[in-house]
Amino acid sequence: MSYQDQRDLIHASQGFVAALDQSGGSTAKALAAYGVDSEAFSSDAEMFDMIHAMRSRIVQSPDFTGAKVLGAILFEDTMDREFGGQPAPQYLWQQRGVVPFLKVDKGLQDTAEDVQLLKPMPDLDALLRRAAALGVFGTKMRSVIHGANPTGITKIVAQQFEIGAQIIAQGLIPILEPEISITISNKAEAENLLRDTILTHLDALPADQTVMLKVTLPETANLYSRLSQHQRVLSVVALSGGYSRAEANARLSQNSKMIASFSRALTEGLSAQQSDAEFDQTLAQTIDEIYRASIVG
Amino acid sequence: MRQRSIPPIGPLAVTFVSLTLAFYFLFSAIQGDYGILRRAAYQAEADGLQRQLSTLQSSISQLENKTLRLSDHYLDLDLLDQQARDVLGFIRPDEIAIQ
Repeated sequence: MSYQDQRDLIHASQGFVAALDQSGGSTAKALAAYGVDSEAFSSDAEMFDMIHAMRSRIVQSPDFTGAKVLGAILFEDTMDREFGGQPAPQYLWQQRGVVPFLKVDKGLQDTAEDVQLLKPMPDLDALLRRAAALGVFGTKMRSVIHGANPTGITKIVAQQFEIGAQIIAQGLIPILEPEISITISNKAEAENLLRDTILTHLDALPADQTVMLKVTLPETANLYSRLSQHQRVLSVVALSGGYSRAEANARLSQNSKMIASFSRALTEGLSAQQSDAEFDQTLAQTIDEIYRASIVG
Repeated sequence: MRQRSIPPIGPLAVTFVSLTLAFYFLFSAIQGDYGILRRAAYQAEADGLQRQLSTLQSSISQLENKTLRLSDHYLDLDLLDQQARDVLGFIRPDEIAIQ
């Protein structure tokens, strides 16, 4: 299966993009929720090995395939590890048909003009070369909008597209994620500003460049349809940003051509003590639920 | 015999008292505890408190949002990564922190 197959799969938008990872910050907690308490490991290295074992079990589960899970967003730690004896990104695509993405951002700057821009990423090119060599298809980077401030939104979109060009130059597809906080009072106004600013940048993109977009579920149904139909856009991915699963699914169903992308790990309800059959069934249920919500739109 | 004219004390008194009362009420209406100026001050104070309330409500809803997204049953990994960096000062093994 080739690079073009990956593009076609993402463009068809029949499934969702999963977050497979656990940030370093809560690994112990995630393991505890998974039924592995702190006595089971005596060092950080062992802890990360155990969390990786959990991930391996997830990706090797029968239902974790490209039929429903279009893509998986990995942190750098996972990209450098292996599943089933293969580099993780290659295993995901070649064995499971799941398109691998890499989260490349290194945190956010302080809020200014109602936005939080990305912190500088000085060694991004080296990381991108390594990722491309390991079979990663695309990247993801998130910055946050806290208000309908035209100056701030102009800056945040410009930064996303500027770094996006750097990523495209290394042969990867960037997911540009200017998240709009769902708690702001002028969310609808901020969304209109964001859409128009993104359209301006998309129109200026060269014909051989393509991006993906990850945006908060909008107040107005199909607000971003012009983005998902744009020639320079491979796919538009929706983030829930704190909406409950029910509300996120309801909003998702009002927006056509939008893939669900849950930053929530797929580990809900999974446990180390479960038998393989129980584990696979629980995971299958979770995947199916998110998949149905994603293709409803 | 011509009657000596007695000054109309009654009406004068009534007029004086009326004028005094009118002036008093006018003064109270403007300067008094319930007057226009005090009302304007109260209104300004109310507006300020209203702004403060909506600011507090906004930050409460932001905190509630973050709390939800960092809970076991929700756990937004992007936000977790951001908070781990901002609040705990975490960085990845291959990163360098420049203060």
